[in-house]
Amino acid sequence: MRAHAETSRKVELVVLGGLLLILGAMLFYGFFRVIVGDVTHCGEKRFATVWPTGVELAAVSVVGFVVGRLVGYLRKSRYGGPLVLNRAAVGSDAVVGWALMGFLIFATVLLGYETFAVVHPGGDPPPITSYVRCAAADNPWVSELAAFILGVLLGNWIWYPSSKRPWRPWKS
Amino acid sequence: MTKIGFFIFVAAVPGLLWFVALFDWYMTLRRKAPLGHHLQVFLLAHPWLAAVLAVVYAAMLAHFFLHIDHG
Repeated sequence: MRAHAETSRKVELVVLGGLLLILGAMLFYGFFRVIVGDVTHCGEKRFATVWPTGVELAAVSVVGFVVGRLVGYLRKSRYGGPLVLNRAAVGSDAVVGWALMGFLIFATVLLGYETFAVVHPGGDPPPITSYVRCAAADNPWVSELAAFILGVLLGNWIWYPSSKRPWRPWKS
Repeated sequence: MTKIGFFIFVAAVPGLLWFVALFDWYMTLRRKAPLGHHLQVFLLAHPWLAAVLAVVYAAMLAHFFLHIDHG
């Protein structure tokens, strides 16, 4: 590790801790709105039908994804440069592979549900999109914050700064 | 839409992320390789999978967010 690795670790802890606190607050706010709010009238709210909200959400997500990569530089600094890749290290990480597989199965099931819901008109069952739209209608700012944090975490996890090239990941 | 459906939505999106981020933070605190590090090693070793995940993420962004236009 480099000499400044400890500082990077502390900054990383603060950034991740901040994301945790914000996510936790949003979680409680979401449950609070579910309990006290009326989800049956979401479509009637003004922000649900104004086009900038969706574009802003998408843009904020992309910005978050880029910020996630910048946070990844802290981790890169902590480990003293680009991650060392070798087949043994990857081979010992079978748990991550299984977890990823579980996530992809979960995502596939969700996409299957979404496809089924979109194909069937009348909103029965309601597509996941309608829940996203309802959340955006209820509070665009909180939704944009959620989209940003989601982007940061994903950008940090899957867009890690590396000197490796995708077409030759094993070469140093 | 129902309250139960919305409850599941809130629990599945920020809730799941919160637990994963908590684990990542805990591992960083304990000076162990965090989940993100393991994931990054795995995805750098299998870049096609990272590319697929990025494409799926972009598709979901377009589907969920850009779909909000005229009600």
